[in-house]
Amino acid sequence: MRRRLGWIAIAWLVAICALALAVYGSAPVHAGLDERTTAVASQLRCLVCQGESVADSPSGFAAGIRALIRRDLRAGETPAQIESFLVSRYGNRILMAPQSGGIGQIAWLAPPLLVLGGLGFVLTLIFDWRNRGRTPVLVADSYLERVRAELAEE
Amino acid sequence: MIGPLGHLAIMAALVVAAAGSLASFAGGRTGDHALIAVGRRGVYITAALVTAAVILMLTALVTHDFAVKYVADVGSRETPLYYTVISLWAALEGSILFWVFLLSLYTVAFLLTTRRFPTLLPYATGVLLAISAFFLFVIAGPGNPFAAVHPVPADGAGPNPLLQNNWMMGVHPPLLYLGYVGLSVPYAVSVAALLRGTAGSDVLRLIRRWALVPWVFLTLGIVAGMWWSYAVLGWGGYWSWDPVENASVMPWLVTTAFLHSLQVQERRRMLGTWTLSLIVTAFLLSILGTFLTRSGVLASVHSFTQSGVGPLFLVLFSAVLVSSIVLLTLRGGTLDAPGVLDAALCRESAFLVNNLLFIALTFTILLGTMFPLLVQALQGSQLSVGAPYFDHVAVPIGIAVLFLMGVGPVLPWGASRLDVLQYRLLPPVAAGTLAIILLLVLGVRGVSALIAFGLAAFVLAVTLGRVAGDIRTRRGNTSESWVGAGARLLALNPRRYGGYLVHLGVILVIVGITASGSYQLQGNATLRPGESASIGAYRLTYLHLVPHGESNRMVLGASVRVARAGRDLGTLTPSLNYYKNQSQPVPDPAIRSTFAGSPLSDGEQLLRGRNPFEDLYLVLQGFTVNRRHPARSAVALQVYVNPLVGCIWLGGGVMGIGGLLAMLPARRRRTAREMPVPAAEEAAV
Amino acid sequence: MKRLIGVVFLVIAAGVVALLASGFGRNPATVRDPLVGHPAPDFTLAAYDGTTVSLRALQGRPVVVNFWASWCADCKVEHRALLQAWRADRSHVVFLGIPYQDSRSGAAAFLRRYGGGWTQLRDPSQDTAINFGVWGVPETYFIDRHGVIRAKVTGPVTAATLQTDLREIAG
Repeated sequence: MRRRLGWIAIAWLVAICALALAVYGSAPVHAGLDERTTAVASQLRCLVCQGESVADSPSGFAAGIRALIRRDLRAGETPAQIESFLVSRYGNRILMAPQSGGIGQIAWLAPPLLVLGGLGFVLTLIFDWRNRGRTPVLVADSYLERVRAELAEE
Repeated sequence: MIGPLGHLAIMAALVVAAAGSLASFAGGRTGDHALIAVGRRGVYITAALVTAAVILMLTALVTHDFAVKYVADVGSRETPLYYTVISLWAALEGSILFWVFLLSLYTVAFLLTTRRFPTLLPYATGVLLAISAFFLFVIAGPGNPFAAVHPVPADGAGPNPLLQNNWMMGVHPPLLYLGYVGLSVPYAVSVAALLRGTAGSDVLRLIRRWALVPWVFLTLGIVAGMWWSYAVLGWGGYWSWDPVENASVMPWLVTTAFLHSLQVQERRRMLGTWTLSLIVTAFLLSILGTFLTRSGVLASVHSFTQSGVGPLFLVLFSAVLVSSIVLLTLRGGTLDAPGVLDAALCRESAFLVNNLLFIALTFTILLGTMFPLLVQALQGSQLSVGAPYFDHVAVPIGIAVLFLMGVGPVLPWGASRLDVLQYRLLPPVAAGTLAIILLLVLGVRGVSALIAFGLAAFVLAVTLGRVAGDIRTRRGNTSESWVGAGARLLALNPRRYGGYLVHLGVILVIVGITASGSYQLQGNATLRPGESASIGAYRLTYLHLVPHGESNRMVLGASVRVARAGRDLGTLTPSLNYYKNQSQPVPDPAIRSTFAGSPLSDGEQLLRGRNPFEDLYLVLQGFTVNRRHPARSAVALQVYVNPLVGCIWLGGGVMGIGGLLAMLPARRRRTAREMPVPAAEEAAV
Repeated sequence: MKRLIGVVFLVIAAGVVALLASGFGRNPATVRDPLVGHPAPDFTLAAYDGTTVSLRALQGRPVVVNFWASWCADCKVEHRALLQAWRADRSHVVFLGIPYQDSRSGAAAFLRRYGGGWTQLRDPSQDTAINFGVWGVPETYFIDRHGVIRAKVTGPVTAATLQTDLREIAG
């Protein structure tokens, strides 16, 4: 009984936590023009700087782009429209991150796929080893041998 | 005169290192003591020659001997002595010389402190001397810093302004180099172990000790690099996911994975080959880091040199990569016990997942860093991969690592007992939840930041809870005080508590990064003398310009009076530094640091639910001078308020101390009665 | 099996090395411009001399658009070549200068000192510069009779590059 109580308490705390986050954390952000400009600018690279975004850089180039973003946002353009206009002028290198289409897809998909695939592999391994730990006699299993080798080499 | 002498020393060192390497390998193979002794002597002679070359180079720098190419490249008569001395690593050739110097010191230290392992040592020595020989070859030929200059210039241009703008330049590169170079030693021992086909626990312990040394240096070097970037580059941040920054963090991640995976090997004799391949990978990534920094294939803030040395580094990288794969394939696998677990939910599983996450994080950073090259090679088009990418892809993995940092230490080795687990987990989960609720009440918003803070509190509670639990157990068995029991435990198992201290340091760093990343305030103002601007709780009043000349530069400061919540905090002077031969001035930010307040006022602020711990960061962007009407002269200021940034530097220091503790040898237990920690719990970290 | 995995890793390693080696021939600072081969963005700007210039109105004649600034060192470097080309080809090629992030007095002083008689246009909001994809001066665009950008030079133009690019739009 005590054992179950502990788990219930943990689940309860986590649930409260999630609820609180959902309620307060997602409070509507009153994004003003300044915030929206910065949001767009932070996705763009300052081409005359090293590694800085248009939002961070004090350079004249960045100031010009920021002014353009502000004016276009006020005129009702979407951030995506502004980005695609700038890409048509400066090329993809003005974006701080690869686009999610085309070849950029590789960069976005590979890490989560690696984590999921790796997690599946590690879990298989753990349960295999657990089962082996439960069998009293160890059999030289070629499949396990292979899995182990794969893990060792990866 | 210095030039030819220095070149001679390097050529001699190259010959000795190459010969010593061959002798060592031959001696290791045949067991011939004479050959092994030759290799050993080769190490000492190489070290002496390289040290002589470094002293010659320093002499040339300090005496402004512009007949030496490197001095002509980076030296200038106006540069202050400190920056002249540290310009030893300000450019490519000098930093390779410095690199070999550190490697030869490491090799000597390794040989002097390692008495056992007679069969492994010759091979390890051979590998280390071979690496030395490679770097010596680079500076003996294509990148010779001692080359002669005709005609001898009267003066030089001096180092890059960014490299002489802050004293940290004398600290951060050597720390990083000590980290990168130090990884050669565990790599050499691993190769030796694979060649000999013996990788017992004692060998892995040797590797662990020599992996911890560079790990501590890398940790300190990375944090110092963040500090440098923050204090020098003037954009209010400390990490821009620049290729060179990424290159420094990748070996650190893999070495960290190694230090965790090693524990599974030690306890269960499993994952031996995997563990070895991690440390080999760490070394490979450190070479890759050098390559990316030095070859100029990627544009970056820090890669201040481009040269033909790049292809040579690629040759070294390929050689190490291919030989490692071949060795691990042929010799690995014979070193491990078969994988057996008593239960699925246990410390061993946590370490497996830990390794997966660290590898995934490293892979992500590597992919992001190399992706522009990949796209260029495949499509011929250019794109950049910057902060938004890494924030979206790498940060979630980092959050998962943080979560695991809380769960891992709670899980027992072998089989888990759920009732024990819930007792250990309940208080930390409560702590994390309470932290989130408290922050919400205090008005902190933002989902990802709240999750990070909650997890940090969770991990903090787990870590402190484990330590408190150990002390309580010990006090139950002995009659020591809390402090006495704590000290005794620390002496008995410095690894475990050093590891926990590192975890505490990580929490500090995470809190600092989350707070400053999510709650930074930013603004700019153009002020005339006497005018004020407000940002957050601060009020800034511009007073006047303060120009002063130094030997190598002109410093133009803007004196700004700062008040916080009505309380005067004195003046800050951000400046623009004008260097000789440099048209653009270098901004030098003025920073009032996180922990600069007084305990009294900080306490009062905290009671009012306000965070007093933040950096005020001022950058002078430009100015206009009106000679006729001085009152109309104005300065343009960029202002940042960065909460809790100081926690990052503090946390880095704590991690370093934890790493040093973990290096200490454990005190021998005298009696069985002094074994307070349950056997299944010791050496947790 | 073990060998197979080893071989797979060797192949991956070869790919990584090839990728790194592919970076050698290239300078990461050189860029391909997306606008070359496309119609030049139109603009109507006030000139320093008070007239108004519209790019569309100039169709039928080749146009050289030079973005520059008085604070830019490379602009001084290229100015002599530009001046010579303008003197030689002003009869059939339109030369336009657009100062970038510059003060009116600074630009005027520069022209008084180094010479130059072609039309200078004011682009105070940098809209035209951004529309052309200008990021660092000097940048020079070569537009043919149909209003299509045929070439772009980033950095200072030389007499040789000017000659080839002028022939491309005027020939």
